[in-house]
Amino acid sequence: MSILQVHDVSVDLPTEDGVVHAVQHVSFDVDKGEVFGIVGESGSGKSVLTQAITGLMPGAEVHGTAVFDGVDLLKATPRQLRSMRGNKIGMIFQDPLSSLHPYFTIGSQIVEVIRTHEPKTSRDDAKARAIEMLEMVGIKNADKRFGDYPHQFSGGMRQRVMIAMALVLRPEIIIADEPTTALDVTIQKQVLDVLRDMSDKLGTTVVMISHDLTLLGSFADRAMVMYAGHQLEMGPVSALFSRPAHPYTLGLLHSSPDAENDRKRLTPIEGRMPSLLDIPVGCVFAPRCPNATDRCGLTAPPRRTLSDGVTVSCWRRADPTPAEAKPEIDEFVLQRARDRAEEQAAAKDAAANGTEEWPLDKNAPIALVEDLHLTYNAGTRKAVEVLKGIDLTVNRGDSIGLVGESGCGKTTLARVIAGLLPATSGKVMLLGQDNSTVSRAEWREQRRHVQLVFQDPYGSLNPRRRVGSIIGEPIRIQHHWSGNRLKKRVQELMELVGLNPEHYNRYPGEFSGGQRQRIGIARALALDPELIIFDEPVSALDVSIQAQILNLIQDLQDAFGYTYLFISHDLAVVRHVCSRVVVIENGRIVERGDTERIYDAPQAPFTKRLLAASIRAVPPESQETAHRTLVKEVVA
Amino acid sequence: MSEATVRNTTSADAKTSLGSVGAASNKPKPARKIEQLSTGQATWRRLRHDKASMIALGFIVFLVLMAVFAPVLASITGHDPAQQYREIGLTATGLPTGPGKAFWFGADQLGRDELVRIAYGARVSLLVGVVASMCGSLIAVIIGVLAGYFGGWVDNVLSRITDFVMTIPFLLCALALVSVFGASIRMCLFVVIFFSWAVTGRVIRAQVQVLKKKEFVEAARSLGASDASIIVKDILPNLTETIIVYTTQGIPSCIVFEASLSFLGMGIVPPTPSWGGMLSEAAGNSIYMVAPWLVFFPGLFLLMTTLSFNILGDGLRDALDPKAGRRMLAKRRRKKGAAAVAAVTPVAAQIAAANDDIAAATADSAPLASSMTSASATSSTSSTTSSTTTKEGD
Repeated sequence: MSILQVHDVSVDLPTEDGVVHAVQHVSFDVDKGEVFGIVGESGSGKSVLTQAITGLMPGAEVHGTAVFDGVDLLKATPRQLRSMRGNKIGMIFQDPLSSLHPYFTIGSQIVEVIRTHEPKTSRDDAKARAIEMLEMVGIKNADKRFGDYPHQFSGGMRQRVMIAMALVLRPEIIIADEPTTALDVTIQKQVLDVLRDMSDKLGTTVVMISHDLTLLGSFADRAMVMYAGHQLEMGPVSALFSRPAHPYTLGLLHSSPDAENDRKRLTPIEGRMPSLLDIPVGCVFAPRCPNATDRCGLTAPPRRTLSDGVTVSCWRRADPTPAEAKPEIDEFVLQRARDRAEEQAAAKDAAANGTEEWPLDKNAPIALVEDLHLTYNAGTRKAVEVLKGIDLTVNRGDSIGLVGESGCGKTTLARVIAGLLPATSGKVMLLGQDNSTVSRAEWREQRRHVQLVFQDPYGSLNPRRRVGSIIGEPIRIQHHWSGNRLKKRVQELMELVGLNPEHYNRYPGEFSGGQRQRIGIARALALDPELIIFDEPVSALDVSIQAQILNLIQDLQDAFGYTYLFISHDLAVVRHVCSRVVVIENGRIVERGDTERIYDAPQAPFTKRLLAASIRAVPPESQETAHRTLVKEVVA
Repeated sequence: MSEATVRNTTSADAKTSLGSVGAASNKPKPARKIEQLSTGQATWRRLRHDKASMIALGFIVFLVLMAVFAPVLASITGHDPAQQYREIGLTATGLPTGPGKAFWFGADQLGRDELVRIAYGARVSLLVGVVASMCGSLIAVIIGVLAGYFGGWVDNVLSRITDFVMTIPFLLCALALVSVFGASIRMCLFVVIFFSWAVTGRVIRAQVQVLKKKEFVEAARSLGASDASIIVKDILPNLTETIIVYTTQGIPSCIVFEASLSFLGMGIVPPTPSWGGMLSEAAGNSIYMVAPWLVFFPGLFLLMTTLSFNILGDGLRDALDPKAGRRMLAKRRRKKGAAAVAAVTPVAAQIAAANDDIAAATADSAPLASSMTSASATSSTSSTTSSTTTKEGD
């Protein structure tokens, strides 16, 4: 029996730039007691959809019907909706830090929820219920922790508190909007387990929104795939995984690095999401679809229902085929790599003739870290020891992955190696020179050989400078090139990373996240450095874009032989790019070794936990799915 | 910024066209181009929709024209600003004549043409207002950037100086200075500048402190850029909006400073006409009791000028603010009659999430937007800055 019936819902958001058609003609039913997933990349309209349904988006123009408990939520009065939210519909948001009020104890916040909706409950009863609920979500000593403030809980614990708060009134349905995205992998799993467990125990229906298809695979019963405001495919999770009916679902599965076991190139979905200001003619995915035919671009596809419960919006009747992965590296990249090799050979000859260039010792490791300690606010009461004795050697041509959870010190370590932060004690040798003894001029010289690519594609590019100037900056600073020579080199770099060189004069704001990350990479390549440090380069990007960037990073190393230090919290990504892995926990290296060895036979308990959390069970194919037939076809 | 159709590049990202921040023209055609507006164009477009700002701008343009063409005005009326027309400007009893054919705004107690004097007074007011405000901003930028960027003892010294300037009682000090060094337009400018930079300086310092921690500054540092290069190329361009807004809003207070000084007889030296001086003369001997136009016209111009600059400054701040999209939404809703502005933020957040292009534009501004899209980690300059700004500005 379905508890929530959403029929033909469209959401338009009026903005200064025009009307954003955030959701278009979405229909789905959620059955009582099931876990229903909504998956999509950023901008797919998944959050807008649920917020519009729960009446949390007063500015939007919403059409269609959403019947919950006999009431059409889209026509309900604000008062009706308010009494339903919390009471019958529970909500869990992404950021556990900002969804709890920092000035009140968690206990009083839960009690308030109870007493708002059930004013007759006495304070003591409410407290008892809150404590019971906290215990159920796995908070130990709940009666003691009842009076604690949100900052006294860790991220995962806070999210548990949020779950307790959402469940305390025993709502019939819970809407969880990316509840684990802000958490570390190991914590993620625990929180999901709690949510699943509670759903089973209390019979609560869960609607879970996520950008991560594989995460839903182990968690949800059924799921809906959204793209650019459109519903593309919906059905049992096992069917979505084993026999995706829509090319986009297939593309998503193929572009996530988890699917591949080796360092094979990923098959990204080419292109990027269209602007939502337009209503597309034909299929919204057609411009990026490897199976698109002429018809797809002209007429909207029909919505077909298959016998195993899958509905799909696609013209193609046969199963979709994956895009051909571009097997080899771009010719332009290879050509540049050959040119560079020749230049270096020439430079070596010149060096043999007496003029020796820096660094003196070409055979020394690129970076050598010995017993490195770093303490913030050293000597004061606020002192925090971030790095506790790190030893690390980075040889020429290595690609080393630094893996760890947030706050473990991996970014700090990278900053120290790059010479941006001074170490408290220990030795950091960069290209045979001790970081602590370099002079100002040498430090500047050193910059030519070490470059960083930052995590945040928005924050790491100055919004007020043109792209040409951003990429050319290192060359201008270090070699004092200017004019046409600089421009030529910058355009060459842009082509190298897959940007259109004619966009030389644009501002970063005109590029998408993936393109901005390419700009960041081009800037790092500008000086042809020995060592490139990537600080979570893809964690801010969507899955399909992430694959494009990972391929680029890998191609560049294959062609040019750069040395990489690759920081990531995501084991799948690291496995894809790196040949060696270093696992860091609380400022200490707990395990290191070749990538395959670490993945096949992890030694340290922390590594094991990390691996266990990142591997997700994919539901097996059912008989129904294997022999499915077309049931009906509704023309859009 | 012209059109922004992204051509198919060697790989990836750009297969579908339609790039950019996307200020859309309202053509319904599906294949339309979404055009990228430069910051200037976008600001002007927003400003144009703000009626109050446009009226204010209109008045300022009018005032500037009046100041520039003051001699022309003088030749039309046939009256020199300093010339005393005792025969026609004063009645037989020696009282000034009111507004009429000969003297449009009336004559003052010495028989001078009030209109012509106001036009010439506008020159002084604008000169002092604009020049002082710009010089004040220049000092503010220098001190604010140095204090914010270098921190440590530099910040301590400069911030204490700022505090010191803010604590000095303005009029008392101004009067003392002028009485020691003598009144002149240069002295007047100096005093006004000296007292006008402190608040702006603090705001800029706070903003630089935020900018300094941004990743692009660290990126520049990791490339080996010098401090000077970072300040000039990375920090200053991101301060443009603040500087424009604070300079515009500083103009009226400078004009009022000047008028106050002149009113007290310590500013512009007679017979050079200045609005403050004219008001002061009108107050002398209570002549305004019989000739109210002597207070009315200079007072009106002073009021209109300060009001216009303030409104324009407000409008500019709104127009330059990348969060303006959010505001538009809220306004529209109010028109429709639906209340509850409570959830405006999630709306904006969702819009940001709704479209990669738009996200690119708003990411700088909406912390919620970034945390709700999976593209997390985007911290926010402008919102953080503006919060700091309020703190500091108070």
